[in-house]
Amino acid sequence: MGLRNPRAVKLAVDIEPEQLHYVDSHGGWPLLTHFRGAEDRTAHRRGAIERAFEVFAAAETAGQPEPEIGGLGLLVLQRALLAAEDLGGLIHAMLGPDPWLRLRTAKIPDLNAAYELARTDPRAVLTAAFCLATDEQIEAEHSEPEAHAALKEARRLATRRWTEMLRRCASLWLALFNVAKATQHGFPIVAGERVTKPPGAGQLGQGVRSSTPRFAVAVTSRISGTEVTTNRQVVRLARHDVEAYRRNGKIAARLALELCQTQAESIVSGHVAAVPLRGTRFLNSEARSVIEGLRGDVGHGQ
Amino acid sequence: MIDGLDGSTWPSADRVLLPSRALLLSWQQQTLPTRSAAIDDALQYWKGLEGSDASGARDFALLGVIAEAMQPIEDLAYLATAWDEPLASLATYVGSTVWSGWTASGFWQRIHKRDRDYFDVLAGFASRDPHSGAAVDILTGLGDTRQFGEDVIQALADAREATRERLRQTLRVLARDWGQFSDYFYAYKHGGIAVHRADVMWVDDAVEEVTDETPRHSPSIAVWSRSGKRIEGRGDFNLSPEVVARSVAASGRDAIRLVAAFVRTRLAIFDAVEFDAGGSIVALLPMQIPWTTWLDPGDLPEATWKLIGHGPRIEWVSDTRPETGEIPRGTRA
Repeated sequence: MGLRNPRAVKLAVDIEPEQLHYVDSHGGWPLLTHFRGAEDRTAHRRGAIERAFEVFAAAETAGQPEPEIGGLGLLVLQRALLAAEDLGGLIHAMLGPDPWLRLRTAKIPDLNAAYELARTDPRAVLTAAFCLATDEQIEAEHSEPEAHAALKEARRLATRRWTEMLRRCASLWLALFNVAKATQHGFPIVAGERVTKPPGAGQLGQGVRSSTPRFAVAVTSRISGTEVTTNRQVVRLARHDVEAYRRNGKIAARLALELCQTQAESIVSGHVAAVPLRGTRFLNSEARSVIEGLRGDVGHGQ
Repeated sequence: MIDGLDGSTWPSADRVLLPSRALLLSWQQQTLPTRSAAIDDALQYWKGLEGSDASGARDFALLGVIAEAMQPIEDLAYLATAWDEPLASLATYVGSTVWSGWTASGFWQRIHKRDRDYFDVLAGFASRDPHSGAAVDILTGLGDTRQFGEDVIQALADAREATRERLRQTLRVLARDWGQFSDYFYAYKHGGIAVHRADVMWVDDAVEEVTDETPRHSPSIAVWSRSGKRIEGRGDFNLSPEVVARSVAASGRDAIRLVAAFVRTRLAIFDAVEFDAGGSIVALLPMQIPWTTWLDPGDLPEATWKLIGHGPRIEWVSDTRPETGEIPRGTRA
């Protein structure tokens, strides 16, 4: 392999936002470039998940040995959890001060807390991380009651969509974050067949139950003083399970993209909140008409 | 008693033998094929983007190759550490299920300091006593080797030394790769914090003002550091992306081969054990110690290969001394 290059270089950012002061007060330049790079990042995550699923599906169709098929299902899950970790890290970052530092120091308890909040109080996450405008912000920016009504209806649609996406991502992460750790650090995962087929897996297989014939058991241990605690988690790997991991992983990537796009737009434009107008075709005609009239002027606050 | 042998001092089948066997077989049948498929996929995807103008897509594709290649390098660290530093009173495999932020880095940073005993344990020629830390030769543990001819004993010693040397060299290369690429690996796994190339330029550290004439540098890949590092980011300015992809993928595959050999040496003992459907040991079978499993054909003279082949063959005999007074024989080359 090549030698390390001892030369030190520095990185100069080459963006010209309209509101230069807003960048520094909202996370700084590296964070802004990170948001702007979301399209490539999330497209890669989605593609990696999809390719892994294709390999899994092909192995299943070809009748490869069950442990091999199971392993490929775990690869789909691993890649889905990478996308979920990206999203969790972004949410965690935007929930506190110095988001760029928070993003790069996020650990599993932070990600878990972010997803717990997404599950129990999605509105708080949508406000902080997705810059979703509040009633007060909408009413402060627009004087017409018709505008309030139309924007609040557009916000309701966005809230419903994002909340459902958050729920799926939280469900994926909170159920399986230990498996994320296992797949990325040493892969201590026993193939289900080693548990079910004689002579079995001894203590590791005791009490293990799976609702699907194809599964694996993630084995993770913790040392506390002189005590070692070992946990076992069954990971279902039937086709419909792996399809669900694929689907929810891609949703996590999609949601991360929308979070980043929203944040980048907010920083560059100087607007602290907004109402996404993606789903306006689902609005009634009156609201749609009001929205069309407002287009170009639906950022809120400074 | 099994076949006349007293198994009362053997490790528990339920707590040690069966779980160890299950995990090691899972490595062989599930995990290694997965790691291999992941590298193949990442590399194929990267190659599909060669010549593309989509710099961001190419950057992430290259990071994907690095990440999938680094995974088995990390895996080896966990397995080797578990067997070298076994937890007292627990099955050895349990150590490989304990996550630590230091396991991989600690393993790779210390490789250049390791002694002969260490490589004997890693190769499976010895096991580590969890209480004393001593390396206990497995041939000593398995029985009397005095029956081996001197030529066989020498051949085994030569193979052992060749294995130590091969491991020493190969692991030093992988340690260098870990040092060079682990930051990219972590950046990919945790947040995907690659530098967005379209927004930045790299200039010499002494530059105060960037103009159109300022020379720029272009890394093959660059990432932001996970915080806690003393540097903000890392980039490779020495190699082309193509060389990075090809080299790191090769290293990942080397690591997979090493893990496969490691697993083979630990699984070999289970070839000797016949379990019934309930997991009880009912018989001992002949087995072969995979003594030369780490080596390539060119690592030993042909004469040595002819003497020892894959390794010593073990046949279990009763430890009840026969009336003739013959020394009970536990091993046979």
